[in-house]
Amino acid sequence: MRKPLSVLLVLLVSVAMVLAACGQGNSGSGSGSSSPAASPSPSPSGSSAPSPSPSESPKIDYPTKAIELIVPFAAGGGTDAVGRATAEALKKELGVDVVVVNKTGGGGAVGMQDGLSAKPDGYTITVVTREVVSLPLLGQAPFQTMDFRFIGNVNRDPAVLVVPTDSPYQTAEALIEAIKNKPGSLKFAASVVPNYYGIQFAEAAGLDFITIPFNGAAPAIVELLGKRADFGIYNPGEVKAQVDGGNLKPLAVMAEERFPGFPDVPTFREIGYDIVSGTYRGLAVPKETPEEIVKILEDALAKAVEDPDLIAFMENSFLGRQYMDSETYTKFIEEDIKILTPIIEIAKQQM
Amino acid sequence: MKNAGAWMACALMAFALVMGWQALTLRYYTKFGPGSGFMPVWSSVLLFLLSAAYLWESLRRDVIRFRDILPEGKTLWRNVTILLAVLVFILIVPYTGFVAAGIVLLLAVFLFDFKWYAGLALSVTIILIFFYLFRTLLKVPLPVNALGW
Amino acid sequence: MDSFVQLLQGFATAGTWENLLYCTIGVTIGMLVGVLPGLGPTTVTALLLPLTFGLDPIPAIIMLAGIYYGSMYGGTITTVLINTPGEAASVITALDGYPMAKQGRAGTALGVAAIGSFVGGTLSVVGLAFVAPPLARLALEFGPAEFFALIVLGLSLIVGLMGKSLIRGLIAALFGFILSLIGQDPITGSLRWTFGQPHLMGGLDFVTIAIGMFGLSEILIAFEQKTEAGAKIAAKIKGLLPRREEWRPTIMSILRGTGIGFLIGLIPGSNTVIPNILSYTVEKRLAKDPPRFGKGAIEGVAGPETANNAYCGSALIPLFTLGIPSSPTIAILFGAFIMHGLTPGPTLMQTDADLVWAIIASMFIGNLILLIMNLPLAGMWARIALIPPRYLYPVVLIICIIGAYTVSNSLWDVGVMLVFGIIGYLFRKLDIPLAPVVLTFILGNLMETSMMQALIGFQGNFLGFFQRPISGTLLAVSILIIALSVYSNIRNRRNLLGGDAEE
Repeated sequence: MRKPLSVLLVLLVSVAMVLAACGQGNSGSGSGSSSPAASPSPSPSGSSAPSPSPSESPKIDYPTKAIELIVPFAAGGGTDAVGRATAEALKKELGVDVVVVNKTGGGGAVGMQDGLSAKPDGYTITVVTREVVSLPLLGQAPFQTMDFRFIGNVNRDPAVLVVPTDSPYQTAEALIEAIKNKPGSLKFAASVVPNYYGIQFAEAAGLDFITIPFNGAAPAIVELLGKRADFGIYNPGEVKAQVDGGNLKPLAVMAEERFPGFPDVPTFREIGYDIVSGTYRGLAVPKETPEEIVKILEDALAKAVEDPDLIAFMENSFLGRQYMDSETYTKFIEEDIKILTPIIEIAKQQM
Repeated sequence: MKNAGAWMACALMAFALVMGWQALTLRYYTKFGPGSGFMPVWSSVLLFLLSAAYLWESLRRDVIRFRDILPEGKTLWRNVTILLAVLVFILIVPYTGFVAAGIVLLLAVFLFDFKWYAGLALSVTIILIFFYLFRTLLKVPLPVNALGW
Repeated sequence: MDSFVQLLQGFATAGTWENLLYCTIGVTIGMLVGVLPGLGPTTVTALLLPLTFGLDPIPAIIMLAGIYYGSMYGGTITTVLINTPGEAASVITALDGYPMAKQGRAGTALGVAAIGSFVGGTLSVVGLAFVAPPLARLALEFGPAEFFALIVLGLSLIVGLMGKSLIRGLIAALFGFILSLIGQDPITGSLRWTFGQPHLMGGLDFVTIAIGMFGLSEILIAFEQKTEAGAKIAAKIKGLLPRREEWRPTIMSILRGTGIGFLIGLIPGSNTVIPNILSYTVEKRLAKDPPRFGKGAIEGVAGPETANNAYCGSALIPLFTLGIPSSPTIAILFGAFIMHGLTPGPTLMQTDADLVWAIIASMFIGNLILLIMNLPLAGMWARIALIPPRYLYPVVLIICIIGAYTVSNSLWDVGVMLVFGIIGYLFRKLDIPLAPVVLTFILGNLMETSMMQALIGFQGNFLGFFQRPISGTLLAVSILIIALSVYSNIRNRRNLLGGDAEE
């Protein structure tokens, strides 16, 4: 028994040594274990004045190696597409490789949390979506929304109300009429649970309909096409194929302005209901990241969103483009927290 | 009690109890039909009952003893080591990175069949090949430490 | 026939040297990466997607389709050789494929799988090319109620895989079922059994459970094999093709598998498990001597593997005709289309018909390339099973760990794999069958979700299930099957007959 025992000893000793030596070690990029919040970096974060360093020049050596971009959702989805396209564009601006890593789980919570616990040195950026606001409000995230420092927004997808093309309700008003006449009877095929679009719709217009929950837009759309549901509310990219193919008809968008891909579709405001909703994707870093690095990223992103390849890709995929710089984006997110809080209260009661 | 089947049955019953207990905190029925708690509760109950039947079966008819099914001596230790090594791997990888942790893991397993220098050579070669294959060629993310390997 | 002409033109486009090259590359890479457990078709396709960025649309999609097919076959290789099904599709193949490997017939198993995959894939692409649109419309009739009934049917067939002890089989099935419920409730979003872990919110992942229960436990058990003589017996690799008397049943099962796979693939949202289980069970019931299954029955490999690939081909039909992706892997293909500026759906056939036909033609070619590559290679793959355990299994161990890690790039999954490895090991030692665990795991959650969705649609009326023709029929059949299985199981026990498939 001597040999196996010594093997075990070797293992245990190595563990002990490593744990002792790296007591304060922060997990490296890509390891995924949650570690306590990173120790603050020497330069003051959040201050607008450059730190009084001896060299006095604000130019720092960043980036010098590849940057990791965490996408908190699965490959092939909308967020992943935005992330990868943005990574390509950023590569050109920053001159280094921007590598996309998908870290799924928790409806986005795992990836975002990983982004937060990485070293705030600008080499780990996270794609944040509306979930960065909704998950903490739902109590389903181990972080708070404002733990992030938001660099800028890239994509904004409004929600669009659709019906099958041969539906008896050919305008949004007709649909709303019908729902009001038959409360609790018309069916909404929801692509996500809980469905903020649906709740906002119901609240703003005072409607009572049945929500059938599905896992993603595809099965929800099948339900619509098979006439087992009457209407749906999704993002434009999810319905483009169907609208082009003549299977679905968009009735209204929940946005401030008409969506470029659907020029003939009125906004909800135009027909009298103040509903603005949708999802968005932007970039963020932990809030301890030094100001200089954030500025470099912000400038790079501002140029990246003008990249013709990115623009072409977004337009082809019906992904709405709306760039917001860091300050605007941060305010936007604070607004969104206010908007979502009452909606999530309602959603929580349904759970 | 050397009856392996009985122990497994008890473990399953405990599992069913814990899950069932948790399931009771969920909403049982909604206006549209079963709520989130419905299936969990009933599945746990069923599992509990079946495990009890299994327990009875293990004690009366189909007795399987630990001694019959578990290996002995070196083989047993080897299997235990494999499991422990994986655990160790998981614990140390964030600090030492994939390459080092992987070498430790493989070495632990190889030591049962090879001399230490052969085992070490094999481990290093294999880990390096995999590292190159996945990280560099395929760009598959691997658990690495702060240094990148 | 207009379509036929277009198909020929498609062949012309796909047959250019450039496209052929990309097709081959795609198939090869897909296969090699798919060999690794944990890297199933979805992951592989997603990982290799960036490779296609710089290409034009046609070669890019041809390569992706090649990767898709290749990775499905790659998974089969691992399953047969080391009993480590890395994706749902392979679990059933493991039941008879691995025993065949242990008998030295790994080459045959892989060869039959290659042939079956080719036939199934090709025939379903033919279907895709010629009868797609009307069938797709029909598929829209499949709503949650029908889905639920279909899954119940699948689950009822699992009873047939229970093995000697009904109790242990049911325990395994229930265990898998409970595991599948962990996570966010699909209807209300409330968290079930997550114990505060964000990683559990999405539920457990099939891949980690499969790698753990099958792969890790296999490693542990393999090290326990006392004799190396076992390996020497298997050293006579008995060739690639079935024995003469096996040809006929094999061909029949391939044909049946094609039909089953093709039909199920049309249903958007179904997954590969259903055609596999159906095919396996059909084969087992139609065979003259069912006890042979589970110990290396060649139909048990031929049928499901064919069904698998037939499913893949026809699953593309909803994508092409309606623009609806049926499964996550296809969703990635969908994304790839969009990234290259194409929108799958009815309009695609009108605006870019030549592109579509080129892709369809390349699928034929891809299947053919797979077959040509693998028939000779099968022998080589089979030799891998002969490497002495002390060399082979440590490598397999590292592969399993990497495979588990890639699921969501976190060590959590490696930990889950470890836990299930221990559970799988104990289960195997105690004769608790593993297959029902993973199968109910895949189907359980879906079943509950469909049931709830249908009930919401029926506004709480359970009878709604029976009022719709398709779901009513399927449910009735399922109840029948369950009743028959339980009855025959009890009867067998009374007759002291050994019985059906064992793990």
